[in-house]
Amino acid sequence: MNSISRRAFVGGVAGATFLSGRSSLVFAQEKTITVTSLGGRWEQSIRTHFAPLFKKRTGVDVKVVSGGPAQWTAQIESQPSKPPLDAVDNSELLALSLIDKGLVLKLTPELVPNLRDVPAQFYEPWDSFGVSYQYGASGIFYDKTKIKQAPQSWPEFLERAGKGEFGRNVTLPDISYPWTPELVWHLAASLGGSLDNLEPAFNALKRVRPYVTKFWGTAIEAERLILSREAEIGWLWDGRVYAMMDAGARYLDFTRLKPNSLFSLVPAQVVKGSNSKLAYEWINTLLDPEPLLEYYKMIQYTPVNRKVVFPQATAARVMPASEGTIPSLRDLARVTPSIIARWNAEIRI
Amino acid sequence: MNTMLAAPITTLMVIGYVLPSLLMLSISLGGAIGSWPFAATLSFGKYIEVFSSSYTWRVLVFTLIVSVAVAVVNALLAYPMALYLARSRSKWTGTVFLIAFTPLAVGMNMMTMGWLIMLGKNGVINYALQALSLTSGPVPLVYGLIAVVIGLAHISFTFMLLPIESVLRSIDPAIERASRSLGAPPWRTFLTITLPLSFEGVAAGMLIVFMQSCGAFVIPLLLGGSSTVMLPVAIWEQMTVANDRAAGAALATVLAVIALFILAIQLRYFNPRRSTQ
Repeated sequence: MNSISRRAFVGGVAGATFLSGRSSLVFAQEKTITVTSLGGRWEQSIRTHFAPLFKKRTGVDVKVVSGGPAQWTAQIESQPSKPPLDAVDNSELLALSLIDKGLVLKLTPELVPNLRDVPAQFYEPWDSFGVSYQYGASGIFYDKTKIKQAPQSWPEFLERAGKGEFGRNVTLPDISYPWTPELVWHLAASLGGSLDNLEPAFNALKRVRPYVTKFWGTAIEAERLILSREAEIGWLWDGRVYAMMDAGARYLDFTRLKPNSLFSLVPAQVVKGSNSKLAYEWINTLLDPEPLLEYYKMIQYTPVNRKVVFPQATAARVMPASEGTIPSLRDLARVTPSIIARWNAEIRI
Repeated sequence: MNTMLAAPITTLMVIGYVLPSLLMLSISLGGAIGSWPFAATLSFGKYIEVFSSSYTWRVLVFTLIVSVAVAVVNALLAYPMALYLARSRSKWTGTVFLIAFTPLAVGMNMMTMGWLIMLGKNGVINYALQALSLTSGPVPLVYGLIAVVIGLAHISFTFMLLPIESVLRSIDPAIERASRSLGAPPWRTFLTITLPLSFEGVAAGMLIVFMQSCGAFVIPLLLGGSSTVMLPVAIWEQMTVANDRAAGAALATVLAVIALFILAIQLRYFNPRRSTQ
């Protein structure tokens, strides 16, 4: 028989107060919820900003499993009747895999009230079976002491890099980085191509290749290339560059290029299981403006909740959601193997 | 009694290695995660697919060549040090042992970062070369084959040194003294007595280093470039970018088969128990 500890009971009562009559005693009967996070600053933010609020509202402890989406989806798929995770921060494509296998639950405003304040573009790609609580926007970082006039558009960046204007100081992600297939599509689309016509992107990348100091495999590696000043210009997400700038890299700057930026989304999903009620509450907490603001201050990735009020000092950095784009994820999944094969044949030579 | 002593490690190997390997094999043959291994109809489709790709062959051959190169480089570097440690009575042998263990003590990630600082475009070596006016600009030392071999040789150095040192220490010095007393010069004594007798240690070290290098991930990823992809990185790409677990599992099985094949060679030709029977 489950017993309600004094601490959990007090937590539950506090949660009831905050949730205006929501049944926190039901939550309090569960001792923990198991959620996921990428490591480093992401995990720190989950533990520091989101978990305490969740505990305050439900009286339930949060167990954070760090790792990556490939590991988490494998864990869920291997134990579908008793999944080891209650909520998962997934990758854009692996989220579809869990949906197709019927292992995750649909999010509705009734179950996740904060969803009402989130633009549809952050849950529609997964038919409401996942919602991204933040987004990164692609652009270019550059060493402003070396590059006086930054490119303004993706075609301009690729053309100037391909002519060697920046020397062998360019860096781009390698195909071992999970977002590279999307990047290839985005570059192709910026140059007039599409998912079924990636020729413009590969032609441009082949021209840039001799000037790439390193195709990086992880975003941490990209940061190292920037901070060691081995790379003077290249592709990266806004949040990562802004975090480096705020940490003291004064030579660094970031700009988003026309016509638009690629979104980096992390769909959070409720795993079908006995703890799903709490998992919905966890997703609701992830979308809450209060911890999202703290998350933004630490990570610099943009919260999706419209009610978040950004600090004036950094508000200009935030890309409006209308300026971001992603491809059709199902079509991307279809062409990803061919993008990898082509990259291996044409770029890795 | 002896069987009981092996029980803990056997249990650990079965749970931590044999069962996961069987699951991986099952997935590579079309099995699904979450179902019993080999419950589905077996298919060699993924193996045919990965081996039909010229890229797979390129990666496989490159992995084998690099691993052999690392083993050879390490043997040449470790042998003199092992000889010194086995024969010298200097008070410095303890310090040398300590130095030999630093790759293990520092850890792979830190060591890789160290090499990036040394070999990078703005790294220590390039700075020194330019300061001494030996080059006019930075020389590309990192993100290629040489950097990968250096990194892998460094991290696995201890595993080469210890077997050689152990075997050299077990060689009866009287045999070498006999050779010298019969008029053989030091180099001849080394080539005809010491080296052949220590070959077992060299072979054991090379096999360990070869297998370690075949399975290396961090060093090829960080110190290598786009044309120096090794098999573990290709497996990672299948798992995390292509989201093709079957292809990743097929490549992982190939890697495991290579390791087991090398282990079988070691057991067949360099097993000390076998040679004393």
